[in-house]
Amino acid sequence: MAGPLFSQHWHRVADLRLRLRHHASLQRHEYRGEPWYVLHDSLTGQVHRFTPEAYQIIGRLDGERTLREIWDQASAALGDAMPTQQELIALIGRLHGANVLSGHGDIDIDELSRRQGKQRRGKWLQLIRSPLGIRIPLLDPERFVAASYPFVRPFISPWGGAVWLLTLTLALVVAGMHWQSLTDNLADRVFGVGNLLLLALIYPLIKALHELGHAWATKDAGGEVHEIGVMLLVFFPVPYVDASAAAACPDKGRRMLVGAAGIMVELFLASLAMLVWAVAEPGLLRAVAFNVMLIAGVSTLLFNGNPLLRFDAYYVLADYLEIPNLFNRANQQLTYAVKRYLLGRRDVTGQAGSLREACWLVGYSLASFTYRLFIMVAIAVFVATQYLFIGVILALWSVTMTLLLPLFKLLKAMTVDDSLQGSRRRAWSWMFGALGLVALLLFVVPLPYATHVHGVIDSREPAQVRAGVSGVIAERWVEDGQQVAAGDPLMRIAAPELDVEVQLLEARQREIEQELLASVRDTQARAILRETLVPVERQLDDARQRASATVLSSPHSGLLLMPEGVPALGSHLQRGAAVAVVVRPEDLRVRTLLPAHQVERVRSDTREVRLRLPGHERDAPGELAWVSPSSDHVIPSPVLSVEGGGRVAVDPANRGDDGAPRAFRRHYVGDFSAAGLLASNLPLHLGGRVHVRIEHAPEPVGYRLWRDTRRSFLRLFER
Amino acid sequence: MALLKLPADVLARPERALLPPSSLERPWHWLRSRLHRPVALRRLGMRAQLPGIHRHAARLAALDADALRADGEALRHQLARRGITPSLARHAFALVREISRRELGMAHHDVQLLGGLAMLDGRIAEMHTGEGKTLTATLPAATAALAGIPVHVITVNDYLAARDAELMTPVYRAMGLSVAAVVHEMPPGERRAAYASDVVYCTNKELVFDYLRDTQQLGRNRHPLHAHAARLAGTLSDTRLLLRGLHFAIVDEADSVMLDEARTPLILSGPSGSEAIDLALLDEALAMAGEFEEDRHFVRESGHIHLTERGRQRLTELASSGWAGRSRREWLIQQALLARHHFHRDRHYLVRDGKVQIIDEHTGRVMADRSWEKGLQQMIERLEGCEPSEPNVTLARLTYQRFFRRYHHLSGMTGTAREVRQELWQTYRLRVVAIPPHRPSRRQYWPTVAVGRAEEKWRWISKRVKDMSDQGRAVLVATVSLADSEALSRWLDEAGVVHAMLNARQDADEAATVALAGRAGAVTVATSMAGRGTDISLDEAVKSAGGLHVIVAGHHDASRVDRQIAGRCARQGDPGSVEFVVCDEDELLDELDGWQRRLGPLASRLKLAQRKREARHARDRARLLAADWQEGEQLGFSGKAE
Repeated sequence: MAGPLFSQHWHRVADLRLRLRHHASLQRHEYRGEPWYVLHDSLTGQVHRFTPEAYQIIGRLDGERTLREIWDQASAALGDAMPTQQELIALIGRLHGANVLSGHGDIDIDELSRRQGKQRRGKWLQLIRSPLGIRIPLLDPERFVAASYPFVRPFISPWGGAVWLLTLTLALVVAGMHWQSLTDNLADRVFGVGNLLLLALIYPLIKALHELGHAWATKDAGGEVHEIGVMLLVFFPVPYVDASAAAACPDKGRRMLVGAAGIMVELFLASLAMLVWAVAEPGLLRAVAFNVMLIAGVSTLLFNGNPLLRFDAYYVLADYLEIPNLFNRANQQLTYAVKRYLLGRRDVTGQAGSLREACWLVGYSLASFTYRLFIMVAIAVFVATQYLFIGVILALWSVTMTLLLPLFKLLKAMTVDDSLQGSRRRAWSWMFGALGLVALLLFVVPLPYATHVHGVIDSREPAQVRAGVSGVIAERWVEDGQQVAAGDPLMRIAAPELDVEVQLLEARQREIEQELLASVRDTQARAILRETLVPVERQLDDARQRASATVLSSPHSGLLLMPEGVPALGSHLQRGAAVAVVVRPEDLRVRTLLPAHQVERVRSDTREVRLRLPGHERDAPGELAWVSPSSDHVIPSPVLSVEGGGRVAVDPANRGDDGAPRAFRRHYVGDFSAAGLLASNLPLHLGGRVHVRIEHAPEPVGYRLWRDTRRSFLRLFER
Repeated sequence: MALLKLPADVLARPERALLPPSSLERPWHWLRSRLHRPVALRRLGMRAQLPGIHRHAARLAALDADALRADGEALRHQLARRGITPSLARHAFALVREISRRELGMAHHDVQLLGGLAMLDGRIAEMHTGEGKTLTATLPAATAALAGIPVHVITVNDYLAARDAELMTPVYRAMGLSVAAVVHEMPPGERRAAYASDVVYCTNKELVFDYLRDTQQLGRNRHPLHAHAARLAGTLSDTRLLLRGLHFAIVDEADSVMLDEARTPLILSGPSGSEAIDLALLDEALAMAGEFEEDRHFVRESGHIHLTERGRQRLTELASSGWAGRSRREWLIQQALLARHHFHRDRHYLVRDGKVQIIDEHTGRVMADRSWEKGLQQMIERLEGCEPSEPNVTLARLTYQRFFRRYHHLSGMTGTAREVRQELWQTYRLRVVAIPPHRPSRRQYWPTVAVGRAEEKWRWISKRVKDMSDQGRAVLVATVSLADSEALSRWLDEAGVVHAMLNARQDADEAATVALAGRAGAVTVATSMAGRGTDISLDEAVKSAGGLHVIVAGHHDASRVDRQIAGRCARQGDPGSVEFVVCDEDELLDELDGWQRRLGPLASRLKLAQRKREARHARDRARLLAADWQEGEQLGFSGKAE
């Protein structure tokens, strides 16, 4: 219903008598409750979709009527929905381009050869445009698929579906049961050399089955598959299959099945592998099962399962929404929305039939664009870092093609193209408006800026309270985090063997004293007994002293902390074991590791420091006390490392002399005074985690992003 | 200059095959239109040939008539045998020059020889107005014709075509070449005979229409082999065809023909047998369009009319049974709205003898036998109370852009090409070579006069005209539109100034009017019709009084048109002066909107508006060409090229 009613070129076509070729057939489909007609070219396997209005015309192409007659008849038949001459010509042009028309007199050889050349060029251009996604057709699997289809046929049924679902559920349950052992140190297992070899062996098999799944489902939907090949996605071979013939199937469910077949096959394989893995003994079989699970389960869901990329799930989604050619139509709808509503143009038409469809299309277009951009940048960075020289070139090329070329096209449209004629000023003002807004947000509006690090509570000179005796804690008079004065009793340790020793020694003393009394005449014996008594009395003194040490008291006044946790009453202590620490408040500090790039800012531009204990709502003020003059790999407390729940990545290859983990990157040590924490009466634990927020002067986000990006790139290419 | 070997065959109807531009071709030519060898260098190369020509000329000047004819015959054989080699071209130029001197008393100047060389080399020679382009064209035309190549000299109007052919006939005839002019009124038989001449003077419109008529005759036998087969089969008769192919063209006023007029394609139409026009329906549409309010039911955006949502609703409510189909309905109302609101009498068309006639916006001339398409003509006729004409249907359609590039050798000349040289390269692959003037120009540009209202402008102009003509000078006033020229005419009548009119309504005796315009005290009011090619010869009295004074009453669509009008005075070393009179109500200012329309000096605003309009027209042309290729691709199945 677009454009003028009459075409300037009508005279060139009005008297043609055209008809469809015999190898083209039409079928009626339903999309979103609307009838559509799908033209299937059995010679090339191509499929084209037409509206009922177009069908009114295509159906009349019988080689008898001229286009003028057809137009008149179709106009009379369709009433308000009559096609314009322009639309009719475009339709015939499309049919001609699809090679399904005949009857237009002499064949224009020049035109034919031009079209062929154009197609060939198009393929090359495609290759140049996306060097990271090259398609190499390999063979025509039709005969194999046709021969093997009867064996697969029973699986494509409700029963097959039930079996599939059952296996999948079972596998999920088993996976849940073995979750811990499954995910344990996944990265190490995946990238082990032996495993990589296995992966490489199993991968093609699984992917071949995946593609065959598509092919069989296509066969089931009544189509044929004539091309199977390999796509080099970022130099990584990924098989593909041309299942476009399935689009001719009128049943939406079946079309969706074709799209989903690959994922379903892989999930089935993964489920079987899961079950095998669960019962098999460690060995080759188990390793194979694990890898099958990994490829078929994880990779397929990550890549094929994402409808934002044009892989399997995209086609399933398009069939589900009944919006064929979703990707292109979504982009066109977005263009339309921009032109119609932002630029206020009246001479454009949209793709959507309903508001809902329009929302779907625009939403999909935006989401997929953002996602593709993200993926593209990620892939480009990956390739650039992996294959240095050629990789950088390819990545640049890819970025140029996917990001700069559209940008260039946009600029061209904004400056010289005719399509924006008349609304150029609005277009520019929108563009500058949007860019200005972004620039304003990024570079003008200052936003709060802070550095977040994890810290650990630490004391400069801790006074340890040690158990003076081995024994059982009998009484405890203090709590963790309590203020104590010098000499305050803290707890009593019950040591029954000490009492026994004292009693034994006392008995021995009494025995010697009795013997002394008994041997008054024998001076020699008395002298010996006296000699014997001295050490016994000394031992007794010692024992008594030890017995009296069962009451632990504070060495000086301060905050009592029990870093090992509060010992339970009745628990046993070895003599000399540290039970608690008495910390003077002025000695307490929060020790952090500051990333090297933030140190300068922390040093020079710290407005406020807030400390917060995990799990507590309130936070307390802090103050920067000291920053180490040089950076180091040492991690002061395991709490700060990633393994301990912190943020500092540990270098897996490098350990300290004492076997302590070392940081992957160099850090500076920063200390903050914990006086605020003490004042806020929060329960402090020595060695406990503190979240530290170091507030800087507010700064627009743009500068930070720029610094971060520059830093990341410098780090990426710094080899 | 390199050897030029062109097909001289007339049976195969040679024309250059054109392929649609590939994707990189456009940027490449965009680049090449800006990067090229300095023109000075090229001129230097051409100047190097002048001594050679003069040597031949000195030799030829000594020959008597018979010897000269014999020399011409010998040259003819040489050219036919060896093609147009540089040395033969020099010889031919010298011969043409000598014959022109003997027959017309005018020997070509060096600059004209340079212009001729540029054209023989397939370029556009930019020569100042009044430098004698007509005479220059004889050099390449006669050279090619001597080599046996049919030559078309294409110009903007019938008057010029006939005049130039007549003026130059002696030269060609003396060389044994036949000349003819094709003008609008000629019947097909005479046309065929005229096109069979060695050198044909014609207008672009007649040429393209004749070409299109030939394609109708040929039908599917456009390819020479097809045509030959059809000829053998007896289904094609050459005696029904007009042209003999597209060999060698010299386009006079190249910028006007190739750019200004190229904004609309030429459409060959014929009477429609079946598609009768329902007059009642037209009347109904017009009546309904009268009820529609601007900005409420429809909006006007840059020459197009769009219905608003409200307008669509209103249409659905009002439409009766005869209005089947929403597209058809909207189209009908749009046509009716266009007829009512867009096209204005005496600007876009005039009514003469009870007929609506379209005015060509570039040349200011009536386009006889042209009509708007698809009922629009009939609607306007109903509005003007004329008898509705028979509707026509399109038989063939062709853009100038594609037509001219089909020539095997295309060249041109004009006074104003500088501004558009990039477009000329991009569209036609033609380079512009500026040729210096023979004598320094004595044209004086007087300061622009800016006034507020249109009445002030006319009053000021009529006063100035009176002063000037009292001084014994001849005055030419160029207005933008027919209505303007008539308004001025009334003012002059009131002031008692005797004046002649030259516009679309009064074009009967153009030649006589132009002939009288150079007399002492003569006042001529003209539209842009008196622009290109109009050579006003001055009396001695006028020359001594200061020559022709040109008043340009308002800027035209392109500065080139203004320059062409200014170029009517001070031709060939005569004195003359030009002044622009503009007012704040000039139509050109519509091009600007918002603050631009009111802020700043009027003269600079008008310049800006003119630049914008030029750019818009250039874009229209580019779009037309792009659409032409694109639709041509789409219509590959039709088997017809036009």
